[in-house]
Amino acid sequence: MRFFIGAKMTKLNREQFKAVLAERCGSDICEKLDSAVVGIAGLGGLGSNVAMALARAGIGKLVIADFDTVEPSNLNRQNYSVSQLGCDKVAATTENLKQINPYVNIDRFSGKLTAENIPDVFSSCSIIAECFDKVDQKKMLIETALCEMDKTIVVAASGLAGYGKSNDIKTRKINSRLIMTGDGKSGIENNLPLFAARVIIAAGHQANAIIELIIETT
Amino acid sequence: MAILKINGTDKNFDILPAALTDLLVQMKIDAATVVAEIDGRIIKRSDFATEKICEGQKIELIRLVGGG
Repeated sequence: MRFFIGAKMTKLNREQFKAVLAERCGSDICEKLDSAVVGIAGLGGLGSNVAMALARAGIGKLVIADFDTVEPSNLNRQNYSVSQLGCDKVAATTENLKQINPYVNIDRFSGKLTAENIPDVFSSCSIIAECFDKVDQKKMLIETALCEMDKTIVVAASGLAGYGKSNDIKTRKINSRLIMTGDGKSGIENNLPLFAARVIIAAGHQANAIIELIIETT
Repeated sequence: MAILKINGTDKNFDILPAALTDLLVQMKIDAATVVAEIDGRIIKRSDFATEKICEGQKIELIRLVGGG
């Protein structure tokens, strides 16, 4: 694909863009990823980084949801820039994703996710990444998706605060519909600070588990 | 003596807890911070008090901590 060298990405059409991905991963894998629809519940440190990894991988459609705006305190770990302070996180994430993969389809939900609206918001998704900050929200998403939705798989995260101990962060399959990432114990309740370095490890585990699910099970 | 397999380990009980809520109290686990799976079924928080515990069940208690 030498003819792409030096070409501006904005000049690549959808087919050319897909061809670049296919050259890296193979067309079979790219087709699976392109056909996938993945939900991202929460666009903080986990969600903003999971979204970027999935867009780079060539996931066809992302359903992104958050109620919040970008604040200065987010910049230590969340994938936003100073110019996006005050912006709706859904809009800011959309802007960032389109810079990386202009052809990723994005369904946007700017609002509070609840047990009542989650099945509807993520109805098109085969997989949901649980990327909330608070324990009660994490629990609500996992229980709602697994009890109220038929086949949706949840890839959740618990235990990613602090620093060091990179290898304590694991991916664990609980059952056919629930995968947990994180170390299971390092929480903000313990007054541990959050750093991008460790949050991104957990987000990487989530995105990696999602890519594996799509490639291995579809 | 009754046995439950909790998070992969056999645990002995002189008296089996009646419901999931009782098991969590006995294990000093806050129900608000755990996702519970019994024999492959995820139990919703609202059903913790009525979910009966039976001998031999395989129970996963997934502790959730904050941060994201």
